[in-house]
Amino acid sequence: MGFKDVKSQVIICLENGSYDHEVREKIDIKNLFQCGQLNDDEVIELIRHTRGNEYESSPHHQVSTIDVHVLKPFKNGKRWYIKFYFIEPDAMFISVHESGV
Amino acid sequence: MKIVKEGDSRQVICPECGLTHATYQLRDVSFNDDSGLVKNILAAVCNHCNTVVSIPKQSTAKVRAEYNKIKTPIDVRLPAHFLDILNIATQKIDASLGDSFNKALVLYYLHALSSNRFSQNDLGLLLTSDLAKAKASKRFSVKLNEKSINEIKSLMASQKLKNNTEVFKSLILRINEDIVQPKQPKHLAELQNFAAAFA
Repeated sequence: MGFKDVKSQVIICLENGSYDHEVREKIDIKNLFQCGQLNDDEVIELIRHTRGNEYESSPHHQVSTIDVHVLKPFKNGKRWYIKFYFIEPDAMFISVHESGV
Repeated sequence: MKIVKEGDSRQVICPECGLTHATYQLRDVSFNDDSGLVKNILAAVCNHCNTVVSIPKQSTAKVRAEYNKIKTPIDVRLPAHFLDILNIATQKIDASLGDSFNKALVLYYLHALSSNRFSQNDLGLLLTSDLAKAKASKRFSVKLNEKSINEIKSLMASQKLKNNTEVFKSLILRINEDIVQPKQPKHLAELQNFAAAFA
């Protein structure tokens, strides 16, 4: 799946509310999306703002058939870090936070 | 919006078990800094090791509500007459209110000014007035959530205020100008509506 497909697919998941937040037993307070401090529209805006050179992906360390996508958009003077993967039928968000936090 | 039900199953990557299945169950999930606990939310629980693996979007509202309760204590020292200004302002808004409304009034102003609903004009200049120059012999303590902390930071940046004390001093001096000094207090109808929740 190329960058454009990843972007449109994750935006569809956000618009449909078909996503989970990954939890390692506890809720990570650094993850502003999981803590409800960023809403769907704000995350969609960040994703739309991401350019090709601000995107990378790599196989999940436990399940190599699943790619983990990382977007690092720059918006309003801040660099953001958005990490997720797709697991049928949803997106699974690992983290959304300001870069360097 | 997708809504999951208790007992629904989904595929997950469990940190312990790898690619597997989980079932949505009601769980108490804590924040990783142990600052709070979100009680009784639907969470995907690994069918093999019983670990909470993910939470669905629909649980975020309860997470947000709990997260927003996490508050940071802020203590500043203020001249005694600053607290008198707050007491007089509160009485002018609604004579039946006690001084417990004072802090709410300051936070209301913080929000209204930082969101530019009330004008920020010359807020920093108030600190150079004669009224601002007095011994700071009283303590003013509030507990703030992250949203209010960010509003303080935003006012600091826009008005070139150096610290929390300067922010609270300038807010109270603006309350003096808007409510205490004029015969017809500014924003009175709005503040009386807000105060109705405290009566």
